[in-house]
Amino acid sequence: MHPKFLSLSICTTLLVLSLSSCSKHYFRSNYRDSNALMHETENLKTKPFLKAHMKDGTVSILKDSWHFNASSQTINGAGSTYGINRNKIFEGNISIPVDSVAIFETNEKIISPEAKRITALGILTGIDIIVAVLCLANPKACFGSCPTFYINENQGIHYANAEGFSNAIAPSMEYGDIDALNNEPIKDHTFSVIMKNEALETHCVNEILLFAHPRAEKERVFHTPDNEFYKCKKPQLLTRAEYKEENITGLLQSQDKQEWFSYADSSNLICKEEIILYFDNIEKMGNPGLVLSFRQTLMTTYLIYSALGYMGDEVADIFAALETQEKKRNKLKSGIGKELGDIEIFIWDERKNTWIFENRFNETGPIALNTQIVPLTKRSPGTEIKIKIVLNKGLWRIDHVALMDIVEKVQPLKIAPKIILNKGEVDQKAKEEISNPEDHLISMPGSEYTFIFELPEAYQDYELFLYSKGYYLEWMRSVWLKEKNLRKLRQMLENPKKYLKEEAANYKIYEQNMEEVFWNSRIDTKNFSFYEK
Amino acid sequence: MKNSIITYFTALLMLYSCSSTGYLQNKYKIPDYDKMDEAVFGSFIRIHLLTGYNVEGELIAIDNKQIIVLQEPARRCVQVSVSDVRKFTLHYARHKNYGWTIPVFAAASLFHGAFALISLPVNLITTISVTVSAQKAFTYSEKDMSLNKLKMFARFPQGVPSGVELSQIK
Repeated sequence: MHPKFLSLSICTTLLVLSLSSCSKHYFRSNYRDSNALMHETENLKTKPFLKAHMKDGTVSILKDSWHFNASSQTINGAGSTYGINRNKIFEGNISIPVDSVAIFETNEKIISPEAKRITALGILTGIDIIVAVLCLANPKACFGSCPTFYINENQGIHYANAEGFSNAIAPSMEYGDIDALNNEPIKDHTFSVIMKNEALETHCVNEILLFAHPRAEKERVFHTPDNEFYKCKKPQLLTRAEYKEENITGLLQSQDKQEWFSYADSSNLICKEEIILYFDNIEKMGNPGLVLSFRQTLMTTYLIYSALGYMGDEVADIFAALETQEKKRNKLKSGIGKELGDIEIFIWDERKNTWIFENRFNETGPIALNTQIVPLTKRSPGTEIKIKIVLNKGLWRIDHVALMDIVEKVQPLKIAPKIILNKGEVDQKAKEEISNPEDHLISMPGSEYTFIFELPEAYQDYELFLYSKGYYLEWMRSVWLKEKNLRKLRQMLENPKKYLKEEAANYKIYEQNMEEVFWNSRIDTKNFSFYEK
Repeated sequence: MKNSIITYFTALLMLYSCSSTGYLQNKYKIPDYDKMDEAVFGSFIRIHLLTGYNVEGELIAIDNKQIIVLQEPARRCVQVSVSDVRKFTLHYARHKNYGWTIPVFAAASLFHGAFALISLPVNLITTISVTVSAQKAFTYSEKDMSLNKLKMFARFPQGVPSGVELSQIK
């Protein structure tokens, strides 16, 4: 742990503990004779209640108006008398002969020690809320992820335009990832993207390119999960969407970040569910394609962190084995991911009266929305299309679905960055690193690089995609070392079905506390895409 | 993430705090701290004997040789020899139970991501300390008070009145 954090946490704990601690307080006094009682209480502004323990075992309690009568040697006042079993036997004005009293008792008022404890818990609550708010405002700093990309400098994490190579958690797992930027019409032919590392990770970036394809007014370009690009036009809005007989059309009709999602099954993380989509009046569409904007929940983040936790202090050995043994690597890649599955698209065949599998979407990462298209090649003739989306419960968040009429397959231009800025300053070394296929630009937590691209002036507007290739190394947290459980790791890799079933209860605790608060705490987005305008 | 050890520890602590506070406080009519001057019963005492056994109940009286304790639910007085006492805990007023803060604040750390590394131990240390200190509030032990002074918290600080049989005390 960083010494600054360690000393901060120790100071906080000590401060709070000092408030909550308490010392012993002695409040009760006993007097065997009335003279001692009178002497001790004569200067008091407010007399304490007086308890007279009588020789016969009864007790009288006199309220604060009692007084001593020296001539009659009695204590007089209003109060109550109780028997040996403390049942009340008298209430009213009492006169007690002092020689019948065995012991007089007085009690000081006890000052509540709870105020200190409540203050301590109040301070702790305040600190917890501040940390939680900071984490919610900038979740990657707390929860980690892969590199994220922003078109606008001041965008928060909730408005990230892309996140790169989320699956590449080791050098051997490096891959290139394409993300649609859903850019508004470009104003000039210089376009910049900011790459941030706000997580406790080392990002090793091999290549950053801008994919650009010209677009005319009312045209869009989308890419498929297999990275083919299609020019499209004539968007067809969703007519109706149903989830378990619930109408969710409003959530899916617009690209507004008002997402549909469900919670994981409490008995098994592998649990499929369906959404049915209806599109009417599609007779004018020649080649319809289904456009989907989606991202994952925090389930995959949880599973990655769990795996790292299970590795414990052997994480380096296991990662070394992953680097050198392809079989193990494939197991890591396929096991859990295969069981949780993709977003599968089925189309209703009216003639055969059955669902036909059409294609699938998949992209790891809970931060940025992915917008992709799959051409619908198996549609049956008619004026409407009925689509079934089959997906794992609690794994996906869907923002938008629509149909687009595919015009043609296209090849975008691949544009390398012209300038790279490192926190505002030109960084020639970074440019050399990113230009050399054998080299990597190393981005550490807090790093911020701006990639400036120059677009050809031949066209007014371009549809833009970001290509990022690399891998990242998650920083091991000392708290994870305590989670070491190689048996669980083996189960995760060898028997993911069983693991996902057994892990459901643990994940539900995490999901309830994290997903709900984190995502529902979002402010309403103003980030409507150009496409919807 | 899974903090099963913490979960079990918390559950045990909660169980302990529930079993040892609310139930006993009601059973032995332990008064609120601001009603001490009106309390008519002896304080609740738990005596740990050298034999390993415990005796607990309402403190009735103490003299140089023995301690008399009224046990529930039989409402019967038992006599404990002073020489057999290893240690004791006296609860003279009701304390608040802060056991709930332990899981609540531990859960709050879930929102702190990597900073849970700091906040979880701080939360646990503080809430456990607050809970334990609250449980120890309004108590005395042999470290705070001699058996002679403990008399003040008996139902009969003067000793069992003459003419009163122990069987009469309920």
